[in-house]
Amino acid sequence: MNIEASTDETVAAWIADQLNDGESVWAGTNLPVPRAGLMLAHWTRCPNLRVLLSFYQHNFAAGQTPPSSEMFADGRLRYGGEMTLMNHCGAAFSHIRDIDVFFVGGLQVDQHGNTNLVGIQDKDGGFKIRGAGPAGATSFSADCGRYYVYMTRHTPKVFVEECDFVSTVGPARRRKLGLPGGGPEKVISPLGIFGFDDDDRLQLEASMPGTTPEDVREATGFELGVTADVTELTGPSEEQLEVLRTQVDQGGYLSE
Amino acid sequence: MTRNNLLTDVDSVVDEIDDGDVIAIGGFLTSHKPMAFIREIVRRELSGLTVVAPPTSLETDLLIATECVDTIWAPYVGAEGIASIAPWYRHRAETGDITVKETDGGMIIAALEAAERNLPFMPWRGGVGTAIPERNEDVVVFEDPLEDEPLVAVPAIQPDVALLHLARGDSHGNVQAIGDTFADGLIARAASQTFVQVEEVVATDEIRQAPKQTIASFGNVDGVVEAPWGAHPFSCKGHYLADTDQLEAYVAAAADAVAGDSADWEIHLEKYVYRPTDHASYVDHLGTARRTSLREYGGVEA
Repeated sequence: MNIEASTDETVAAWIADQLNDGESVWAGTNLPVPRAGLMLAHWTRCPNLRVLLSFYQHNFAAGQTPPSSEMFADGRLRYGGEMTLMNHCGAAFSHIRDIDVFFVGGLQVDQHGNTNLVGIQDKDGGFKIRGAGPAGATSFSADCGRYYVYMTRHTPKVFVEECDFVSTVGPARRRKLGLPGGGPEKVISPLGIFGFDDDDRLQLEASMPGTTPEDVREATGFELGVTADVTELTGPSEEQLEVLRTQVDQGGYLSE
Repeated sequence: MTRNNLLTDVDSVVDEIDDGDVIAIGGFLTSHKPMAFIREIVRRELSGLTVVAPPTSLETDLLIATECVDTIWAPYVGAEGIASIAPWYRHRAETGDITVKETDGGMIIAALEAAERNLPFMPWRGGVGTAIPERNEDVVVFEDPLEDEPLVAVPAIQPDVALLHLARGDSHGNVQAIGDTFADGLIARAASQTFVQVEEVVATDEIRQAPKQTIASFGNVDGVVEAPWGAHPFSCKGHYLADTDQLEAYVAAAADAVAGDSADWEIHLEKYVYRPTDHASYVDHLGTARRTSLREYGGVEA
């Protein structure tokens, strides 16, 4: 275990380990940790990873990072791009069949792996909290090979029995509807990594360093299963941490 | 016998927008927003507008804040790392003062493509099994007649007026981008009328040197307005970066205002919307030093 790594660095390294050489991976807007994970994979194990960021297929050389971690509309992202994803005026949605791996965020994720980017309901059927909207997640998640649900918070109000509104569809409902994409592969949170049991319900597979399964269950708003072989994440390898800090994340965003 | 001259000005363009119109706003997130038009819409206190847009940002939030807009057809309203959700959009959606047509980015593209192709709807898959067709009655789940698969029918949206900001254009309505656009050409083809702000008006011979960069032309473009810095505080590729200080100031003032303290918000509006009574005075007000500091090529190697 590398005790020096931050949670964000541990998650980025875990994401890098999930990607396979030759896959097309797209990280959408405001997802700096998944973006770091796919650059880390590209520069350590997967030279043929198709790295899609914002408008462009990048496949940057090691150490050549996008200029801004806040703004995916930053025009400088076009520097060094190998191809634009916007060559047809249907924007990036023309590439919907190309995407092997995608990332989905949410205000809520439920025990069935559905996510919610729409909002939190109040007692009268209105919004207690309005979300920004699904951006493109609803469309890409319907078709892409597999996706990872990436949650930046883990509380009982975020990990819920049932989403107030569904904006991406978990495994059981997908099967019923015949959606062609592979659906959510894993759910990532600051407390751990979650897969699905035989009934398509979320279960804890690995907890973050220093976090016990009991901690995770207490922070979860439903009865959370735990796999028999649950582990604690080991954190980035020395090589991964080196590449993360010196090449991927030169601004230190992930180690803060 | 001469070709039409489509050069016009901000006032004449906003004259074409009526209360209750459906307006499309081009650009993508914090880039390429037609702010000279938007600020004039606010100053004129237009009302009842519907905004149709791909992932949109604080320009739509400004129109919501100033009660110009009551319906939103957009898959995202925020400012990425600066604001995960736009403050007024969130507030007025929560109070029920605006109608949000629940949608996704793929659906907005499908809706505009249906309009562009003169079809009543486009089939789409994203949204099947989600809350979108439950919350947006215009989006209807149907059974694919060929494969028996559930799909959604996304209705054609033909905006009354589309408003864009691009790098350059000529007097004939040929408008070009530096780098790529998200859906600006599609928006121009889908809308009844399209007006484009450009950083600079150039000779048609200059347009002819790079025809692939032409995003739309006359037939789809109804007016071109020279508006340098016209996307500020948002970015314009090849010209300037987003003014993150001003966007952050907007978000902070708006967040206070929706929480009940509108002092900073009123100062912000006065400073950036009302006191500069036209676009030229807005640009003067920014000042040379600030403008230079935002130049895309001002110190970063391309």
